[in-house]
Amino acid sequence: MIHVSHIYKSYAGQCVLADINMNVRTGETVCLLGPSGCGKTTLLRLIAGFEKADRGDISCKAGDIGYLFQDRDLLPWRSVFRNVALGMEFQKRTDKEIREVVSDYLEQLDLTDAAKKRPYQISGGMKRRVALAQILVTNPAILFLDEPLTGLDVNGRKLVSGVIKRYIDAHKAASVIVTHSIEEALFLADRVLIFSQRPAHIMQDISLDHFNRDGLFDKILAAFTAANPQGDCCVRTAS
Amino acid sequence: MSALRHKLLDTALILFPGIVFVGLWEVGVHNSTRLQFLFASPSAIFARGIDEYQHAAIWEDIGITTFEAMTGLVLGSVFGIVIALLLWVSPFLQKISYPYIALIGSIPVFALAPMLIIWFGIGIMAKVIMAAFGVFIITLVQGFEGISATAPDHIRYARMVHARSVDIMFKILLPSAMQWLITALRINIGVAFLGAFIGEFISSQTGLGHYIIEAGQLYDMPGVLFGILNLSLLALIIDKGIRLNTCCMH
Repeated sequence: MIHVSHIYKSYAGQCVLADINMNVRTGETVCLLGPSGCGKTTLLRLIAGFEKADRGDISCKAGDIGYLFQDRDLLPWRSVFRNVALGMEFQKRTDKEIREVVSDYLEQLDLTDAAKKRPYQISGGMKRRVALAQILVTNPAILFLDEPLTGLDVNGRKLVSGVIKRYIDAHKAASVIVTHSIEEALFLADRVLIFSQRPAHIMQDISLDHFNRDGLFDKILAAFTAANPQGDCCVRTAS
Repeated sequence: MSALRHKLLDTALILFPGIVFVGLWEVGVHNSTRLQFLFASPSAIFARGIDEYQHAAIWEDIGITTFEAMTGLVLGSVFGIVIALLLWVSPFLQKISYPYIALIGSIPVFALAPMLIIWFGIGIMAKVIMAAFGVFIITLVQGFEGISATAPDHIRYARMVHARSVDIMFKILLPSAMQWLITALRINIGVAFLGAFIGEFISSQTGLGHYIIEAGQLYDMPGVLFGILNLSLLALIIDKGIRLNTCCMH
């Protein structure tokens, strides 16, 4: 479904991504794990088609994409409900359908009480959940989630992880998720790609299908530490 | 109660310099016919106002100038927003047209006035176009800046779900640029009145510009200042109306 081959990307002469190769199959969830600023978001934007690679090929087939931006604001003149409904309005879905689907996702993400509020009246964690709902209501076949759990408290992380997992399972969506947390990767992913520091390349491709999940945390942490001797506080904290 | 007291105090503070100015003006010219001829006096302007407001002619002048300015404001604003959106749709059009827009924007409306009078006559049309001209440029520049300032990820999100350009314009771009457009609208009230006034000033038979130029030719200083006062009051009332209607928009 997603095929990335020998991708290179530089900014202002500084190489960010070097020879990245990866594939994501239909229904598969791949987590990109690496230190902050190594180029994971850049890769995600390249695959989604928001930016162009300097070299290499990317093909991303089969259907609509849903991209959860790391720091996109909500539209301040719209209520939470209407922010979530925006994509469906663009898709020309009926009012009834919009009401049903939006209400369902607001409930799943524990946002029903905030439906009529404006973005400035809700917390950062709630905004993040609204942004996720905004993506999921449009029914994308491919999900790109850039740090979907950042800014959420423990309960929020659990809630959002569950919603993402249910969506992926129900829609058989191919997903690429950028995360800092090994635990989240373990919960959501079928495969974890460990990135090195800049210029980033994939150091390890760990499939989670065939292992006992209990031992995986240490395995991924060891792979990450080997790839990034400097370490990354977020990943270590997750342990 | 405390809030009311604060509001009254604020109002008094705002009015105080004006009252002092008017008082000093009145006292300053009181004993001099020469100074009264040159500067008029607040009491003379007030008396002129009482007298003029009882006649239909001044209301007709006020009505015509307001109509010219407001029609120019609406036409210039709509046209400016439409062109700003077109420039957003076509980066190529934007690239080739922006230098020309800057060039046209640098032309003072006063310079165009004689030509527009020749083309459209001394009726309302020429004044409306003069009012619309300045409004158009400011709205276009402000509108385009506002639209360009929209976060690109909002557009990417819309494109991701296959939004039509017209939907992106009405659901994202225009609301995003609203603060810029409201600012443009408020600036443009004065610009529209200026355009209408210049048109009337150069050649017309009605309107406040005509009233002021006629009073000036007769060395009727209270009349000139009364006309100016009416222009200012009109602009102030319309600005207040816009502020009241737009304050809760976001």
